[in-house]
Amino acid sequence: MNETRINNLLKEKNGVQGLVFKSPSHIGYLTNVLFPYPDQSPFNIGLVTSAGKAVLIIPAEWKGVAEDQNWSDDILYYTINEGSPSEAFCKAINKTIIKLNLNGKAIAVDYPSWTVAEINRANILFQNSQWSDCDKTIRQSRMKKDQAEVDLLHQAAVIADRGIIGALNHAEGTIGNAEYTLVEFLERVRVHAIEFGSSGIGHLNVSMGKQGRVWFTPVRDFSLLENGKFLRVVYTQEFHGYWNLCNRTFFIGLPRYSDDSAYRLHQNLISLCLKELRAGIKISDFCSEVIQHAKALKVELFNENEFGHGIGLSEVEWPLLTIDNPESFQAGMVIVLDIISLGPNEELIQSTETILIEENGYQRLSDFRDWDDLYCIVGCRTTH
Amino acid sequence: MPINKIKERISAILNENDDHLDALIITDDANLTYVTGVQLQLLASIPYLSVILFWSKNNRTLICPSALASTYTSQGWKENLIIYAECADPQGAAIAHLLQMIQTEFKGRGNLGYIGESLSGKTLSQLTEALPNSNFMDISDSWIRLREIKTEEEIDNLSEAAKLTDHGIAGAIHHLSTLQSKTEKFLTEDIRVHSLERGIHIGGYDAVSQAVPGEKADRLWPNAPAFGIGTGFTYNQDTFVRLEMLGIYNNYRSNDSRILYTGVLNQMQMDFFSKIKDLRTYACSVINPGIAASKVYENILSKSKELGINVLNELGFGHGIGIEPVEPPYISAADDGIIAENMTLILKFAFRYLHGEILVTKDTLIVKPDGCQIVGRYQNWDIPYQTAYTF
Repeated sequence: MNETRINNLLKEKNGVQGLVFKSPSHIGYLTNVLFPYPDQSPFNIGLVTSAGKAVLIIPAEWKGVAEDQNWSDDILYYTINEGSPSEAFCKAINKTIIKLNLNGKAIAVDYPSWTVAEINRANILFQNSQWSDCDKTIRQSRMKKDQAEVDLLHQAAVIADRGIIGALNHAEGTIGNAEYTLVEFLERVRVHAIEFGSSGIGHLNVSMGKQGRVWFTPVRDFSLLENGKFLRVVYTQEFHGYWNLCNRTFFIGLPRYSDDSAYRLHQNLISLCLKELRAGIKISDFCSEVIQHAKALKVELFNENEFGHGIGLSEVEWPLLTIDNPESFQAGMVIVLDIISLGPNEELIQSTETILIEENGYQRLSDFRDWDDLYCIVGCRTTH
Repeated sequence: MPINKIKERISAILNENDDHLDALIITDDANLTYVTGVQLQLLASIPYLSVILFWSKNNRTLICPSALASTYTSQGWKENLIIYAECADPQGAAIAHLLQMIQTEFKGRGNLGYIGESLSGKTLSQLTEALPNSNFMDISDSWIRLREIKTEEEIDNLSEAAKLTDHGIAGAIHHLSTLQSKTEKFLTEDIRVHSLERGIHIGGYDAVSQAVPGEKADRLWPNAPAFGIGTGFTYNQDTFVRLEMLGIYNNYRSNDSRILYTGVLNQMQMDFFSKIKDLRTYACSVINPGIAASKVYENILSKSKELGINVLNELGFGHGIGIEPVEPPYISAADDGIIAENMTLILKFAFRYLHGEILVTKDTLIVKPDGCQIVGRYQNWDIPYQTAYTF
């Protein structure tokens, strides 16, 4: 259990006697315990804390997972023999609230995470207690990262790029005369990220040529990498729960002047925008600057409303870098700058940067290599 | 686009309700996939990509952020699309469009159905506050039933998913021999890659595999916090390995688990797996339309005791499968839902073997008018796959 974070939260929510969480990323933040793909699972996890005691509520399917991550407080397992996953989970929540003497007390809850059915079922929490929503409070706390979190995010960024480079190395040499499928290329990204230490892969997407006009395009066939086209990977992966979003654009074969120029302008735009980043700058002002720089460079943007977001224990978290966001950057925030521009055939060009905001500037965490030049997948010999 | 039959069935839900629903509101990733036919696994992890589907008799509108608009249209969504600009409060923006639509179409009134099992309580509060004259109705029960009973096309997709995944596992384990081990990570990757080679669609998140050997198999998810990744651990001779893969095919899932033995099974082991086979045969004989899922559970539990198998009944004996790898009904003590024709189920036996290892077998079943049928088996798994000594 991360007592410091729990105590800070209790201090923020003055007068609250207990905390109840259901969001896996909030629970990871407060306990340092991670679970297998919890957002995709039918099974819920819960955390109930009060007066220095904490209980994790976990499905029987995940027995051993918390202990393996040094969780030494109580665990209550639920099983589907007590009801559907949601019913059994809510029974366990009610039981735990009574066990920790929180019945009728003031409790802070991550309210947006609870479904209508769960709110009805967890009646001891939602009907018998004086609950209040603490979702915004914890999201704000999570925006600023401590050094350990920055180190994990740095490592995640490096692994993500190494995963891509590993896959590119496999594709090189296959363009002239051999065959390499998009699916195989994308799977190589996953495999190499894993080989370089990834703890898990999130979304995985690759697009080529005209398909690249669409931000996210599921691949369902055995299309081959084709010479003379842009190739774009959009994927997320995590290292010990800390995520990286890695979107990169390459060219298969040798680019025409227009392709190369579009990519260079994109990278020039990113360089100019990075110079604007430091603590104290309003996010909306930063977004306006991005648009101004794009106009000056004659770069056409895919989206003029959003240019990235925070990242941490969630793939997307606060702050959202949107044109209407009145908040300011703070030292310790880690963001992914994701400016998307259009190539000569309206293909989307992306090259993300993971950035730690500092008082007087920024630190680039996605520093495995620079991507200033358009990466060309070339070669005709497969035996290297 | 949604599978045609599903479209018809959703329209039927609007009409079948006693109070006559005027429209449905759908907000979660699985149900959006079910209705739109567009699978975006990332919606479950990234709630800021707020997508809402509004489905009335005359109006089917998807509300989505601008980044996703081309994804939906390019993947075949041909109905209305309302695109909102990315902003600091995307959920608020999406709900504002929904409210406006309800005001326009029903003048702020009407019977509006939602799925309480997946709709956020906060979202419902916002809607009820803004629309005091509308009547909001939780249609979870009929919606779950709708998804439990599969169309012919869904069954085809689920059968294909099961077949490709099972073939993928079989393909991967042929690269392992008794005397030439490989790492857990390597075999984990091989299962995924072989499934992809056979046509399973690439997916992220929980579309993963595991190849967990004896001493580590005392839990279902070892190697925390790196789940479904594997380690540099190499397999010893005479070890059971639990092989698992969750695949995706045309948005429909496979959920497969098989057992491998690095060596030759002795007679005692053969006898044990013969009992597992008997248990499976028995289970298939009791899974029939009309029986309650809880009764199936009771019967299997009783039979396992009779056979002397140490089953992990706390995990139940299976569940439905469809858009999600685990969905209702649950073959558990608590689910009194009635098994019906055209349900697709995973029949699961998890049991502890001699050294505490948890071994799991899963088969995909289709419920037929007069029983059930196992689908997707690439080979006979009644006894575990035994490796060859060399290649």
